[in-house]
Formats: sequence, structure tokens, C-alpha cells
Amino acid sequence: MADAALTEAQAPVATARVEESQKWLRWGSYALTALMVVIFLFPWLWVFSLGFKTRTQILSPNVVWIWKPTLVNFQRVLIEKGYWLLIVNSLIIAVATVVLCMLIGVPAAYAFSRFPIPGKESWFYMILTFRMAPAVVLALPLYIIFARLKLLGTYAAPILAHCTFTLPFVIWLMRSFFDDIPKEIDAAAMTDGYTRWGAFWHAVLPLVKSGVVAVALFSIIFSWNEFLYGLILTSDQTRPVASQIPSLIRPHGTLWGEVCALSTVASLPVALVIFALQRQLVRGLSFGAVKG
Amino acid sequence: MAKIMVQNLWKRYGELQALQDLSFKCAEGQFFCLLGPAGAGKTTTIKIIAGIEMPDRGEVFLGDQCVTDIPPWDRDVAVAFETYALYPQRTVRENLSFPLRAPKRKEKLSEEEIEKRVVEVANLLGIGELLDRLPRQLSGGQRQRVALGRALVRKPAAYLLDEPIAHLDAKLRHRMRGELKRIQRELGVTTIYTTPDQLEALSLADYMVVINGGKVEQAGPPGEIYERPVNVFVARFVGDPPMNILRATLDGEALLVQGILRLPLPSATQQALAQRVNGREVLFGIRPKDVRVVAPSGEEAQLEAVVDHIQVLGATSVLTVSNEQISLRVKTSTKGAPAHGESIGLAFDLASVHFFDAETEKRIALD
Amino acid sequence: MRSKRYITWWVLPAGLLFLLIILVPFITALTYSFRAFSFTDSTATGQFVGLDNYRKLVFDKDFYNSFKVTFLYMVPAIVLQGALGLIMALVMSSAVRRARILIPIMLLPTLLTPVVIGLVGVLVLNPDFGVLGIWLHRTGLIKEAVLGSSKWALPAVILVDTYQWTPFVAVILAAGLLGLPREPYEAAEVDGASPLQTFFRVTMPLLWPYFVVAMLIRIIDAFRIFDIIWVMTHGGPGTATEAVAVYAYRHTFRYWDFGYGSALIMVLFVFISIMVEYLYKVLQRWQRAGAV
Repeated sequence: MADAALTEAQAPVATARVEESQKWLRWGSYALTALMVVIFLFPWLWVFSLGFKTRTQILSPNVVWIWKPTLVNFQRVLIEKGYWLLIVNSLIIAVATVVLCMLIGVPAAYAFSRFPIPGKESWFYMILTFRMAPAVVLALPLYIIFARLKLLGTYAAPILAHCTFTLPFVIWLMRSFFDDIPKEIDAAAMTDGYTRWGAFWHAVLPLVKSGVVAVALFSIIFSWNEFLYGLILTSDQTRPVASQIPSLIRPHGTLWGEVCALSTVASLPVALVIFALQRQLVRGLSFGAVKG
Repeated sequence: MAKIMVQNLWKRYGELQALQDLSFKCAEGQFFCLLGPAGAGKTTTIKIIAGIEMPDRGEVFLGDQCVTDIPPWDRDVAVAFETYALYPQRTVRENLSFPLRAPKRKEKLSEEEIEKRVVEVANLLGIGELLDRLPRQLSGGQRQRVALGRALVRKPAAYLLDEPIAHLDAKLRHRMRGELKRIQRELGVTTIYTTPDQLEALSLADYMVVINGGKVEQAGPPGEIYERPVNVFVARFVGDPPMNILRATLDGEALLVQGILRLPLPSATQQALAQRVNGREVLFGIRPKDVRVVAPSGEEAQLEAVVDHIQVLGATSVLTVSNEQISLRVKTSTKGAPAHGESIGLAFDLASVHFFDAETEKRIALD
Repeated sequence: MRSKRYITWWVLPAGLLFLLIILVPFITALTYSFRAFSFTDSTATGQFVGLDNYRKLVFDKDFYNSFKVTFLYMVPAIVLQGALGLIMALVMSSAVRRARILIPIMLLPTLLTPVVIGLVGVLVLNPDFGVLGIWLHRTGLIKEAVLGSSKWALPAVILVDTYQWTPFVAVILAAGLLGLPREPYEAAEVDGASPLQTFFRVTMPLLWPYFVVAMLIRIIDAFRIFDIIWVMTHGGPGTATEAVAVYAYRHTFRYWDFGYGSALIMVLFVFISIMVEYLYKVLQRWQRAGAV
């Protein structure tokens, strides 16, 4: 070998050098992380801060870093203009959609996992396709149908419309969660005297509890964030907040403070949910991704 | 307590024909063993009797009732799975009491009764201290005992035990065999017990069925299976070490084995054999215990061979010996056993030998 | 397992809902695509016109433009998100072990309402008071309002979309990174591989399946982009940022041309289902190859 063995004197120096380069690497990655966090946090932190500024402060060409926060925008947009109703609408629609789709979708997912169903794979292709299609594909026919059924402007219309992407999502993910539970657990429960439903409810479902939570959370978030159906299928009374915000952005004379205030309030629930339930979210995300 | 009968079961999984026209009867209160190598169809049979799988063809009877179309929760059987199938989020106590809480149960038990039974079974199986642990905190052997316990807490019409002690260490298995036999006799519950271990089956069964490749090879009490194997497969499979099976022809008054070993036969045997065999080749079976080691060039030696391999099993050893034409297994006492490579003589005790048709491998009955 | 009728109970509600909200609209759109419906054309009263709508579609250059725009957006966006996501994942995977809180923070852009993210884009790029806009304007890099310029509007969309989705890609890759086995790395260390070699020869191949999954999800999602574009540019200026979904919206809900819109929807749907099927198969194959 060309390199001679390190002498006793050289060895500690060599290891020290390695450690130093490792330290550099570590600090470097911390710095990069911090930089990335700043880059990603800053834009929307700034936007949300605009909700607390006055009109002049917002429009001034010099960015105002320190100011006295004001709640004027919030008061105007939520109370005076009554947009707090939008938040309530978003909540109603999201919760109703998810509850409906979970009640219907989870047993269906279990059936797909456990029972031989003819044409299973083609059903799944169809489900996946609809999930991947842009909302506008179904928006027009849904509009026509709901118009005929006189459901436009009610809560039923956006809720049913949201089911078009929530139900496939629930069935898709829950099925893969159920697939991870060995079928013998079902068999053991059934020979123990539980019916198929009993086995599902008492033996299998408790094992996918975290999956259920993750799916429900994501579904609520997706429904809350949805824009198009909420816009065209609702009236001013039933509109969710995400669908209203773009209409407040006009070519001229937009009240940025109020728009930002409304956006902040609209984003708070999602942010809270994310922080409160981080673990489920990450697990759900990587599961959903890897399983397709 | 009920008798169990399966009739003409056929089951296929894709390319694999798991069961072919399988039929047997298990009497009430009997300890019934289903013996067969891996892949023989033991687990499939258990699943079909339990109702977890439906046969392609055939019927299952519990008692006098045909239950083939009845779902598993309405059949009064308790199953211990070879793969345990424990409920992972529940403690051992909850796993054991789970069957007793099934909503469909006819007799509702009080909490104290449930607890009592659970503790009873747990202590019986030596897992009494583990009641509050979760399955993932248990060793394989402990898990298997919980799976067994889950079946034993109930008093069903029949137990279906699928290799329930396969993963325990030898000593524990030995002890459990005794316990299971004792419990079964006390309770008198019909039990179907599957195992690939012929020794286990012989020691536990009141009645047993040997299956292979989804087919029944032989059914009968253990003694009969051992003494009168109905074909070469059963002859080799039951009995350890396996029976020696050699080609032979009738040569006048004696049996000529593989061309070099002349074994004089008792005349009755010889005559009966001559009648049935008509000059064809037969398969000759003799158990290792019926072959004795003698001095190589002495009077008694009917064959000379060299010791290839010695397997010490405690007080007895199994020798694999061979010469150019024949290879045999011989059971002998370890004390004074020959050494590896040594030349020995063999004497054959013809009191219990077996003959099989060379083509069909079926037993040639001589009486 | 028992009877087919029993299985039906499990899937029936889901099947019914699916029928109602997906199949019925789909068929409605199909029938409408063969009829003439327009609120602007008084002769169009719903009569059957055969393939007229489809013929119009084939000759509409804006239709092809929308696909061009979508691809022009998709390719840079995917490349950026993949590269940045990878860097983010690499840097973060060590930091995340210490600071779990990073995950929800980084995920916020992905999970917030796309409408709000679009709002962030609009504000940040505002030439008068937006943090980025002011700087661009002053330094003369981009003299016009970014969102009003046909040259820069699409890059702006790409930028905002990257801002939203890079964390998503990063989380998937980070989850993959954290789950990688140690042995190959130990072997590489023993073999004396440099960090760069280790990265390219060990990390990348192992990470490949996750990469493929993330990229495929983003590719399919790219066709759905609507909310961000709508908030930022409404598809303009002209048709510079009119991606497929935005184009569809224009013809269905701006012009109220139900017939043409339905034909458009049908074509889109067919396109997407072919794409989904193809990409799904590729996904399976590449995942298997990467896993080996």
C-alpha cells in the first residue's frame, strides 16, 4: 500500500481534521436549514402581517418592519362586511363532506381490501382518474344538474361536489391501510364469534385508527382549500371563504389589508390542525405517496 | 361436543390444487390428528372446517348439520392459528377475553366469570404473568401460547388447532403435548390437531389421517398407521428414522433384495407373496430398528456394509450404512456402536416386514 | 365471502354516491357535448349537432395553446421542485431529527389554500410595495408589473407553484431518506467512497422510487392547476398563462357555451385517463426497478 500507516503523532491530528470537517458540514446544514425556513416562512408571514397594517403602511414603497399592529382590517372584513359567515360555511361544507365520505368510504375500502370484487382494478383506475382530473371537468355538468335539481346555492351542492374528490381519496388510502392488516386477524375474530361487521369494527378498525385520522385530516384540509366548486355552486349565503377571496382582488382599488386579514383567518384553522397533528400528517403524506 | 365430517373437499388456489377429494370423519370427543408434510393441505382443511374458506366442492358437517354454507361466526368452533393472529393492540388478557365478549354469543358471561376463565387458561399455559403485556412484547413461544389460550377459553363444540405448539422449544412442546392431551380428555371436546411431526401425531392421536398433496393417504388409529402403512409414503413418513424401502424379487424360498441380499422367508409369507406377486419386482420395507449390527464375518451376518454416517440420538444411534448395492439405515444402541468407516455385518429381523407393489407403491396385504 | 349480495351492502352506499356525483355528471357532459348550447348564440337551443363541437375544438388554436402553456409550466416546475426538494430533503433530514417542528412549518405552503398562496404571489410581486416586486422594479431587472407581462407571468406562476409544492416533494424524499438502510452506507465508508460518490452511487439509487412517486404525482397534478393562476393572472395577459384547466373554465363559465365546454371536458378526461394509466404503469415498473 502506498500510504504508510499513520504514526502515533499524526493520528490524533488526522481525526481532529475529520471531526472539524464534520463540524463544518453540520453547521453548514444548520445554516442552510435556517435559510430555507426563512425563505419559506417569510413570504406568507409578511402577507399575513399586512392584515395588521393600515392602508398607508401597506402601500408605502418602503417595507415597514416595525409598526403598531391594528385590528381594523379584521373588524371591517369579518364583522362589518359579515364575512365571518364565510368561515362558518367552509367549516360546514368541509366537515359534512368528510363525515359523509368517511361513513360511506371506509366500509367500501374494507370491502375492496377483503372481498373479491369483480373488476376491482378497473374501478380503481377510474377512481384514480377522477381524482386526478381538474375540478373544471366535472364543474360544468354538476352545475347543470344542480341547477335542474334547484340545489344551487344550498350547502348540498358544494358538499356533494367535494365528495367527487374526497370519496375516491378516502377509499384509495383506506384500502391500502386495510391491506396492511393481515387477513388472519379478520379470520380470528370471525371464528371467535364475531360477524364480518363485528370483525371489521372490533378487530380491524382499531388497528388503522391513525390512518383514519390522517385521511380525515387531509380530507378536511382539501375540502377547506377548494375553490372552484365553492365558487360556482354556492350563493353569497353559502360560499366558503376560499372561493370568495379571489373576488376581493380587483384590478384597481383592492383593499389589501382586508384581503390579507381574511386570508389569515381562513388559514388559521389549517395551520392549527397541521401543528396539532404533525405526526399523522407526515405519515399520511408519505403513505399516500408511496402507495400511489 | 360434536363429531366432524368432511366429504369430498376440493380446493384450488390459482394454479395450486390444495385439496383433492378429501374426506374423513372425526368422532365426538376424539383427539383427531391431521398429519402431513408442509404444503399437504392441513391449514386449508382447518380453514374450511372453520368456515374461513369455502371449498370449491364438497361438504362439511358439524354434528349432524351440514355447515358448508354457514358463516364462521355461527359455527361453534374455536381455532388456534399457526401464525397466532393475535390482536396487536390488545393486551394478552384482552386477547384471551375477546372471544368471550363476542356480541353473538348465546350465553353472556359476567366480568368476573370472564376474568376467572382467562386467568385459568393463562395459568394452565404458563403465561399467567403476561396478562398485561402486548403481543409485541412477547417471545414467539409466548405468543403461540396466547393463540392457543384464545381457543381454549371457549367451550365450543370443537377445537381446531393448527400446529399450535410448532414454535415452542422441545421441552416446552413435550410438556404442552401432555397438557393438551390431558385437557382434551377431561373436557372431552372434539379436537382436530394438525402437525407435520409424526411422533407428535402418534403420541397424541386417538385417530389420525395422513395427508399428502391434498389427498388422504391413510386414516386410522395410530397403531394401525404405524404397523400397517397402506403405501410407501405413509411407511416412510410415519416412524423415525424412516423405514428402509428396497427393491426385491422372490427367488425360490427367499427374498432377493437389490440383487445381493438373500433373506429366507417363512413359508407362509413366501407362499402368500408368491401368489400375489407373480414373479414381479416388489418393494420391501423394513424399519431400522429391525436391522441388527453383528460381527461382519460371523454366522449371523446376512449382509456386509460400511458405516457412512452416525447420528447419536442419546441412548440409541442411527447408522447410515452402505455397500455397493444397498444403502440402509440401522438403529442401534449407542453403547458399543461401530465407528465411522467401520465394516459391519447386518442381520435382519423379519417379524414385521412390509411389502409394497413396485408400481403402485401400495401395500401388498399378506393376510 | 359469503354471498355476493352481502358484499353489496358494504359498497352500495359508496357506489350510489359515486354514481350520483361522478357517473351522472360524466354522462351529462357526454350528451351535452353533442348538442349546441350557448348563451351568446341565440340559434343554439340545445339541438343535436353531432361532432360540431369537437370539430370546433380541433380548430381552436387557444386549445392547443393551453396545452403548450401547461407543458411550459410543468417542465420547469417539476425540474425545480425535484432539485430543490432533493436539496431540502438532504439538508433537512438531519436537522429534522432534532427539530420535529420543522415539518409542519415547511408543509404550510403545501397545505394552505392555493388561493392564499396565489395571493402571496400577487402581493410579493407587486411592483409598488411587494418585497420582491419592489426590488425587481428598482433594480430594473423587470421593468413592468410582473404579472401583467406576457414574458414574465408564466415564470411567476412557476415560481409560486414551486413555492407551494417543493416542501411536499421534500417531505416525501425526506421520509425516504430517513428510512434508508444503513448497510450500503457502511459498505461505502469501508470502501473509502467520497461524500459525492456516496451520494450518487448509494443515495440516489436507493431514493429513486420515492423520487419517481413524487415526480409522477406532481406531473399529474400539473394538469389540475387552476386556483393559483386564477388568482394571479386570470389566465392572462391574453392567454399567456392560460393552462388547460383555465382554458376550460373560460369556455364553460365565461362564455356559458355548454356544448363546446362539454366536448372540451370529454377530450380532457380521455387525455387524463390515458396519462394516468400510462404513468401508473411506469410508476409500478420504476418503483420495482428502484427497489431492487
